[in-house]
Amino acid sequence: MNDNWLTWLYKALLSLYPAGFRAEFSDEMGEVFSQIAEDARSRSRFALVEVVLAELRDLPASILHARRQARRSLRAAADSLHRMAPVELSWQELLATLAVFLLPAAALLLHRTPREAGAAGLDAADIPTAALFLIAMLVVGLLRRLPLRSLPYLGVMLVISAYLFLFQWVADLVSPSLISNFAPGAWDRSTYLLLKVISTGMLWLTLFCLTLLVIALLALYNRFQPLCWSIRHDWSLLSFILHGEAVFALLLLVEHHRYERPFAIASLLWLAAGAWFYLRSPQRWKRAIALLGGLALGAWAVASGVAFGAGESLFLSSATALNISGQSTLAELWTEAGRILVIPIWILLVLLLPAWYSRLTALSRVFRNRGV
Amino acid sequence: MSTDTAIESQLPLTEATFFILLSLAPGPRHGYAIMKDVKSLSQERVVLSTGTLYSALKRMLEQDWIRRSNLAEKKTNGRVRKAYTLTGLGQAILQAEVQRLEGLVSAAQPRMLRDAA
Repeated sequence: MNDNWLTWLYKALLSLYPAGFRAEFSDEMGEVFSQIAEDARSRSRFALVEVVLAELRDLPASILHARRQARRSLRAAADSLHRMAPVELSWQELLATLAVFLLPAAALLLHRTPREAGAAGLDAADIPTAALFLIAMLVVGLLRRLPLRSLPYLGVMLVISAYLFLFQWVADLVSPSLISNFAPGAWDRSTYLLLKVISTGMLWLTLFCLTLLVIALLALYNRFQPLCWSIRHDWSLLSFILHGEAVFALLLLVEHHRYERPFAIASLLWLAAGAWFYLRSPQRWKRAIALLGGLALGAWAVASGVAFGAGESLFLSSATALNISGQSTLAELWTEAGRILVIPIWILLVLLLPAWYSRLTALSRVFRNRGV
Repeated sequence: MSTDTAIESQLPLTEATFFILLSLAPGPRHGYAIMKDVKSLSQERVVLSTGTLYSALKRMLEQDWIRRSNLAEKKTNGRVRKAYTLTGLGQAILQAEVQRLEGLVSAAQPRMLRDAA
């Protein structure tokens, strides 16, 4: 039996240890194993086989132990991270975090003239710049193990990816005739609103599950495990990712209207304010209120804008294009307002899901401890 | 928590931990020397594998019972060999464990001698 070959095999098996342990001890362990093998070989072949078998027998338990220890250390690190409150960010970091809300607002503000709007109400020329900026921020975040400031960017990228690929794919599966029927004219208004509530709810719950799936996949990589432990410890981080997803969703609402840019800007500023208060608040419940408040006010601003735009267009065209009575015009307006409100209400509900889950698990722990 | 209480909370030690600390009591040793010494001290009852030894060493380093000795680093075949040495806390824990074992033995001895007589 060749010692070098055995040492090479042993060193290969050492790669199963966690990265920190490997960096600290693998060279030494390889060296010690090589010496043991050399000593045993000088005695007899049987001694060598015995030594190698003993080493291989103990290795799995030792690897599992080291992995368990590494997980405990990560959990302890995450716990100590969350004991540091409020979150201390420099003004540059704060600005970088809020840029995801403030830059679209600035882009909308700079393009005051009602030109051809691209996706999400932004000027078509801004789309590639915005995409490059988002990708760059996310890549920087990934390289730095997704710190707190990167979470809204992860949310925005998730919702955009889902919108471009997942939802389109789902839409292709659904019969086109059903989609063409899915309009206010084809159904009575209450059925239309009910379908809107169901479809929007499905969409946001899917997005929530997608977010959980991405986090579960990230947990497979050691470098992102601190983030995943942090999320397990503080559910509001998940809500913060969803808060980022709300940016794109609210902007999509203003896509087809050109009257409500000031409302969209106000909405983004409310989201930014929510994120700012989130980052500055020490307690979880204050953070949750900051996000919910920012989102509720942002949704209210967008809904007002869309209702204003829709109302204006409906009232202007009531006598000619739509050829409907004043009463129907008012009903159309209510339907439109209902359609708009469905989306932020669902976002708010989904944003609260982590809090509900956390409350349920806390309650189950209490019952378990009481032996119920 | 006082230092004595903190030390006592670590006891009893596992046999492997006890022999590793005992092996380091005279002075710094490298990994392979610890393995051989533990085997000899325990009269071949405790045979540490490399994985078990380094898991234990890592835990002891984290608990500040031992430290890597800079002075005792030697080079063999061009490679750095690291040595481990007991800290003050490690020595105190070893001493406390020895006293605990002595207490056990002194409690058992009169009874055993009486039974033998």
